[in-house]
Amino acid sequence: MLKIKNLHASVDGKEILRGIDFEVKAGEVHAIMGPNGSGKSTLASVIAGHNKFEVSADELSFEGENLLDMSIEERARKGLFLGFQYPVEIPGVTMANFMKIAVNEQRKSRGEEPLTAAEFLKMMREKAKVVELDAKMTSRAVNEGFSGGEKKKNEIFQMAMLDPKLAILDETDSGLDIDALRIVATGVTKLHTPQNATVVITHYQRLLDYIVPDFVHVLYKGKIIYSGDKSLALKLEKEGYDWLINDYKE
Amino acid sequence: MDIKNLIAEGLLQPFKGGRIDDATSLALPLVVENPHKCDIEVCASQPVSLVVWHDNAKECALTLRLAPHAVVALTEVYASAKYVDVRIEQAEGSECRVTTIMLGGAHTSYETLLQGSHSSFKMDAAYVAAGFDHSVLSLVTRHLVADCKSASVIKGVASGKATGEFKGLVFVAQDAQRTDAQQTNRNIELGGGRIVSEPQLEIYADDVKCSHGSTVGQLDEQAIYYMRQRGISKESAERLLLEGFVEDVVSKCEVEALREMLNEAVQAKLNE
Repeated sequence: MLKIKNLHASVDGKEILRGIDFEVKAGEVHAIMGPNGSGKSTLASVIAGHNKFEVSADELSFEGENLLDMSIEERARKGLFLGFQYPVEIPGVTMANFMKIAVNEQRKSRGEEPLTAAEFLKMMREKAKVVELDAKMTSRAVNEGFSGGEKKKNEIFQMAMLDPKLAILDETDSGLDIDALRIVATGVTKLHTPQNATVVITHYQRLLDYIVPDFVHVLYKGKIIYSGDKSLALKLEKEGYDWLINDYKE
Repeated sequence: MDIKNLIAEGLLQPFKGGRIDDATSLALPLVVENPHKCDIEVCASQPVSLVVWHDNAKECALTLRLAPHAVVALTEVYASAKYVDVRIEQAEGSECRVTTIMLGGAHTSYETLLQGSHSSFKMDAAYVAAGFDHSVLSLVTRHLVADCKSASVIKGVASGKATGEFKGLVFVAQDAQRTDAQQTNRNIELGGGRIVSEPQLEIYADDVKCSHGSTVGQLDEQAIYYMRQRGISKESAERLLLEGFVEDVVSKCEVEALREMLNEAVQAKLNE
C-alpha cells in the first residue's frame, strides 16, 4: 500500500529525515515511536504532502502511484488520512459544512454523485457514534473551543467519515485522559479492516494496549533504527530509548 | 438581499423609531428600514432585538439611548454605499450587543458613550470591500464612568482594488476606574486589496484593563493544509476559510431569520 525507500526531507536546509525505508501493507497496524525531535511528525507531514519540506526519495508511492507527483488533496482523495497532532481551528466554518465539502469532493474525484443532505446527515450521525461524539458538535465551528479530548475524537470522527485506506495518526493520544484515550483508541480499532492500514505515531505504550500493532519501529535522528513486534513497545516503556540509541552507531 | 421578504413572511416587524417600552410588542425583532434621522429610546424591561437596515444611498443619523438596565441586541446591515453616524448612549446597568455587517462600501461612524456605571457594550463587525469599494468603519468607545465593560471584534476583508479602513478609539475618562475594554481588529488582504487599521487607546484613569490588537494578513496556511488533507481543493479551502472569517461575525447576529440571508449576501459579495 505505502512504499518508502531512502526518503530524505529537509526544511530550511536542515535535514530531518535521513534515509527512511518503510512499507505498509493492507490490514497492517504499525506503530512509530521515538524520542522528541526524531522526525516522526515530519514523516507524517511528508507523506501527507506538506509543502514546507524539500523531499527526495528512491520511492514514495501509495497503491503503486508516485506520491511526489500529487498535491495534498490528491493524496487525500486516494485514501490517505492524517490525524493531526494539533488539529486546526477554523472559525466560522461548521464541522458539518467542512465534512460535507470534504466527503463530496472526495466522491467527485472517484466519479461518484454527491450525497444528498439526508444521506449526509445520516452518515454523520452514524460516524459520530464511533467516537461517542455528541452529534451537536457538528454544528460548531471546526475545532473551535473544543477541549483537547474533543479535538482528538473529532480527528477520528473525520477518519470515520472519509474511510481512508491508510490512516496515519500523529500523537492522537497526547493530552488525553484515560476515558478519552479509551474512546479514541477503541474508535480506531473499530475502523480497522483487512483492507485498510493504520500507522500510529506515539510516545506511549498505553495507546498500544488498545491498538495492537503488528510492527513497532523506532525513529531516531531521521532514520528507522530498529523494528520489532509489539513487545518492543513494552520494552521501550520500561527501559526508555537509551539502550537503542547507545547501540546505534551513526 | 431584501429585508421586505422577511417582514412579509412575518419574521420581523417594521419600526419607525421612537420609544420602546413595555407597551411595545416585542414578539418579533423590530426593523428600521433606511432611516434618515432616527432616535430610538429603549426603556423596556425585556431584552429588545432591533435591526437597522441600510440599502439606499441616503445619509443616516441614528441615536440609540438605553435607559437603566435596558438590554438591546442591535443588528446593522449595510448593503449599499452611504454615510452613517450611529450614536449609542448607555445608562447604568444597560447592555448593548451590536452585530454589524458592511457589504457595500459604506462609511460608518459609531460612537458609544458608557455614561452609567456597570453598563456594557459589545460589538462584532465585519466589512467586506471588493471591486473599487472604499469601506470605512470607525468606532469610538467612551468609558465615561467607572465599572463599565466594552469588547469589540472588527474583521475586514479587502480584495480587488478595494480599501477597507478601521479607525478605533477606546477613550477612558479619569473617573472611569475599573474599566474593562478590549478592541480587536483582524483583516485579510487579497490580491490588490488594501487595509488600513488605526486602533488607538486614550486612557486617563489608572485602574483599567484595556487591550487592543490589530492584524493584517493572508489566509491561515495551516488551516488550508488541514482542509486539503481532507481532500478539499486549495481553491475551495481558501474560499471556505474566507467565508468562515466573515460568517463567524454573522453567527453572532441574534436574529436567526437574518443569518441565512446575510451568509448568502456575504458569499455573493466575496464573488465580486
